[in-house]
Amino acid sequence: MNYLIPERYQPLAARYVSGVLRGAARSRFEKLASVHATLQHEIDVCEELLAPLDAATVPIKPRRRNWRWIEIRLGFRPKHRSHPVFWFLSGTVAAFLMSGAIVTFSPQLLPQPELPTPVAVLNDSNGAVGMVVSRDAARRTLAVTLLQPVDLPAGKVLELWALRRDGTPRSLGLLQGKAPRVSVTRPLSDAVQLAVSIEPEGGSPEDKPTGPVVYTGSLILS
Amino acid sequence: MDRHQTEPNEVLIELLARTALGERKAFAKLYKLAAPRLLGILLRYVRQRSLAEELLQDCFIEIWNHAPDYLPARGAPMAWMGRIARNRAIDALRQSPVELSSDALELPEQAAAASEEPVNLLASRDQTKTLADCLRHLPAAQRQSVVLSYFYGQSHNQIAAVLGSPLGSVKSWITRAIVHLRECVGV
Repeated sequence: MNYLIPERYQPLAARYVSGVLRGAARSRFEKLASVHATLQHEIDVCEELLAPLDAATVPIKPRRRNWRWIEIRLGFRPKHRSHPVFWFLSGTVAAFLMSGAIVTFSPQLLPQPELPTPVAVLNDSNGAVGMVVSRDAARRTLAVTLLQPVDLPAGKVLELWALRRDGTPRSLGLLQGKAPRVSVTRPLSDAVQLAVSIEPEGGSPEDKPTGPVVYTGSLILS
Repeated sequence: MDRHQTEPNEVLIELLARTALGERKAFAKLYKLAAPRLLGILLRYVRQRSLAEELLQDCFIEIWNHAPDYLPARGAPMAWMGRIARNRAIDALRQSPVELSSDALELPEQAAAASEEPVNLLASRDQTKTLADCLRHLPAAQRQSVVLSYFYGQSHNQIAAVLGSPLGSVKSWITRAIVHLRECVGV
């Protein structure tokens, strides 16, 4: 059956969003919507339409244990903790042993900073790897590691861009210094690629690259 | 807590973006701001606190894992998170349906009357006044069908039983109600 005609998909979207489309029919419609933008758009419109009804919902404060369980299920905190008495009794012995260990192995015992996670590898036009872009969650920045020197003409700078699926670019900032970083002030969830262009000092005068694009790469947000 | 208090979209969009980048502090703040409203939605559907809280945990695990999929252009962050909550609740209801009349509302007549309640609550909010006005202009059967399905998570069969109408009529009322609401609200 062809679901891509309004007479078919509009009633389905209405029933999907209102919640009465259930079971296998619901799963089937979700799968169709995931590959047909028209259906997804119809769902989005119906959801925006009815979402104000949620404003009539009375907020209920969850019990504290829910957040703790979410952290455990995501692996942010261990599931089991030893009894406090165990920690009290073992504390003295541990402290004694640690005092010796710290002297010997102090660099290993210091809290390790969270390592930046690579989110994109940027290649030049010949396919050679030129840059690695990593997210630094703690500092809310993207860090750019230059793997090869870039010969910039005088008065020119490198500018980092996020490209959306439709190809629309958005400037993320200028890459300056040996270990450049740019702040993440807006969501990157709509971006699929990163690119670097050569621009006049101060950056592109337009909302898109005006100079040559020297590096590109797919964005992987996991 | 103020029933009508909502966080600005910009705050939630930023927190979702930071969550997408793996920032746990942003995720914790997002939970603090959004969890009470999502729990309210879940309780509206499943009517059991322990099940609703279990589903709330599932919701936030899904939000953590899928935050990069959220696109501000496709809708408000609460609508996106509300969809996750409703989908979880609907899945749970498939396994053990909850009768609207089995909890606080003892009689089908009361259940039908309850379908008017959110419309009255909406009336006091400027940003939702348009929807409230449009809902009021719907024929009663269409309005009750939409509210019982979207707001209370009732199935076709349950709505048909509550309103004492054939299943086919309920399906048709919901579809026609959405068409009329779209025309009225202008989306």
